Amino acid sequence: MALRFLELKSADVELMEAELRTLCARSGAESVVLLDLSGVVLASHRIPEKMDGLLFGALLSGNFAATEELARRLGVLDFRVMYHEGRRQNLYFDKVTEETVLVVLFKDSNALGRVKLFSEKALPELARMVGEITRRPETTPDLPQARSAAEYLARLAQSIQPGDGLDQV
Amino acid sequence: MEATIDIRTADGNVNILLDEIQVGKIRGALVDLCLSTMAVFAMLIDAAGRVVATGGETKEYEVEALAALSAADLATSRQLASLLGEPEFSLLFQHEKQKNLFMTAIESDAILIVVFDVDTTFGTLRLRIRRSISQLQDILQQAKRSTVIALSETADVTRGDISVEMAEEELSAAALPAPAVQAPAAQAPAVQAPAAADARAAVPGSGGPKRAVPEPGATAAAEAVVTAPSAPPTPSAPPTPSAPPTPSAPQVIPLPPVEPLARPLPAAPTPAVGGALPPELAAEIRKALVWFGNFKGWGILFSDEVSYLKRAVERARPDQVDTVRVVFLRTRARLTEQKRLLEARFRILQSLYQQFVGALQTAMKGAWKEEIVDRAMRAAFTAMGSANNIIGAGVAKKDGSWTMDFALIGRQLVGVCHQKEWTYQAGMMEMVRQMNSGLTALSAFVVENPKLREDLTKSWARIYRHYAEGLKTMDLEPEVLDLFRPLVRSGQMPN
Repeated sequence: MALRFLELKSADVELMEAELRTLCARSGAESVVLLDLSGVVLASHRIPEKMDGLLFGALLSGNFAATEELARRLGVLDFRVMYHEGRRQNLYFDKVTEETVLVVLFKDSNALGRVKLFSEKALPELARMVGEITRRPETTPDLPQARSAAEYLARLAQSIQPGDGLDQV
Repeated sequence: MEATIDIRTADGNVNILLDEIQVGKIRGALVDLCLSTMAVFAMLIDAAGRVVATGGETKEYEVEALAALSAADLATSRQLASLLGEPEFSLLFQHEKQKNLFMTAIESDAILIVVFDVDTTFGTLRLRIRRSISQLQDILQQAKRSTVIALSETADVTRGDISVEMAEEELSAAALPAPAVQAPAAQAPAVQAPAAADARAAVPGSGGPKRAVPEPGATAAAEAVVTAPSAPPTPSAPPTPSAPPTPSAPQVIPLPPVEPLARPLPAAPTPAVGGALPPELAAEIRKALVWFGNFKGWGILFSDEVSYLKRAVERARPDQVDTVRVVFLRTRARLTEQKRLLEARFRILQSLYQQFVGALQTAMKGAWKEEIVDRAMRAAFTAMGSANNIIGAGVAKKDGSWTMDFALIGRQLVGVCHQKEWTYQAGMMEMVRQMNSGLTALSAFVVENPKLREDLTKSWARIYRHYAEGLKTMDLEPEVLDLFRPLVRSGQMPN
């Protein structure tokens, strides 16, 4: 499966984070992350500050991919749900689309049913958002032509429009 | 030494050495787990991704590939766990309609994997698995201790200034597993005889239902009454029914092979073909092998032992005779034990189901014409249509009423197992499954009150569950019947 980078705008991220926030509150989870299968965190809510988000995302997606392969070996073709149970914290994985995974980190293992229920309720909306982003035609920015590096940077700065996300970098 | 299995850490270093007794115990625990949870199969692997032991129906799967993938998966889970400050994660993935997998680390380097389908609920699995985990942990810890002893002894051997000849002597002495473990076979075969005789005497379908008992184990024994496992113990059998198997530490010698010697070795590894075993032992083993060939259900269950014995008959060295004898006797003892267990289970199921079917039939007779009753019975049991219909053969109308002939069912069970290459345990499971689906269909037909129907269905399910716990069903019988009797007595069954 060829993965392509999703082109996110800040409005997209805000919308997705709002959805994740709702999910987190309803299911009583610790934190919620929406991941690309390549390990990129698309949106998240309450990732612990001390944690390296990049590493966390990469491990989560790697783990999910490994298990997916395991499932395929067992003859499960449409693998979706996975659950890690630890002493204090648990992880619930649910596939949103072919390329994205929702991960919920929660403490009380008895709340698995609740997490599952609300995750499944949030899935269609998340899938719709991701689908919309995926379907959006890829835009290659018109890079300014310039004779020197300084000129190039100056033109590039001019070309950035407020609101397309780049101004927040 | 080929039966010795090692458990490796993720970097490939040997951590625990298991002898064949310990591997057998592990396999037993896995099989028990499968039986009690109705899981498809369970396996124990090491952190390096190699299979240590499996239990259940693994035929359809590439267990090696699964093991390697699972080990890799658990390694990433561990990283994730350490990032979150957790000691360990256990993994479950779910797919409601197909296969589910549960994976948990038992020791730091041993991983238990259970694959289950719709028949098992995760709650049940979680409950039962604790017992299996503690069993497996015990075995592994015992093995760990004996490994430490063995390794320290090896270290003594290799550290000292010993000539090559002496090292060789040590090695060949250690290659003989300590013959401490013979005992349990001694009185085994005697127990089989009455059951076999019983099975012979019983006339299928005649008289009371309790009389016609021959069940797969007994039927098997009846047909094989002359062959090995029920033959008298070999005269050479060690007479002392001694202590429980001690972890025979010195037999595990993880030395590198001593191949690169300049001069040829003495006469050690090239044996006289087939001549090493005493003739009477070889004859016994051959008989047993023929028997295992005839009763594939057991042959599959004891496949490792059978292949070992086969090899032993062909090319055992004189110094391996004791080992072969011990393996043979232990196999026979285990077989007898398994047979008795299976027979007991079959008997319990027989009495339970006969009463259920009888009662349902009585209830139906009061309400409908005979023709309708016939049709219902046929639909529920006989016309199940699949190639592995076990109970259909035994449910038939005789003298105006439907009976379940368990002699025929037992025979059919053996036949189906033979054809499908199932173990008899798996065949019994299938039988119970068919019986329950038949009874559920029948009770849906008879009982219109949904609450009563639900109660009945639950009681079938309970047999199903408790069957797996084997003899415990015996205690449950009155309880299940209590549920049923008031329904019949109150006359409210056919609404």
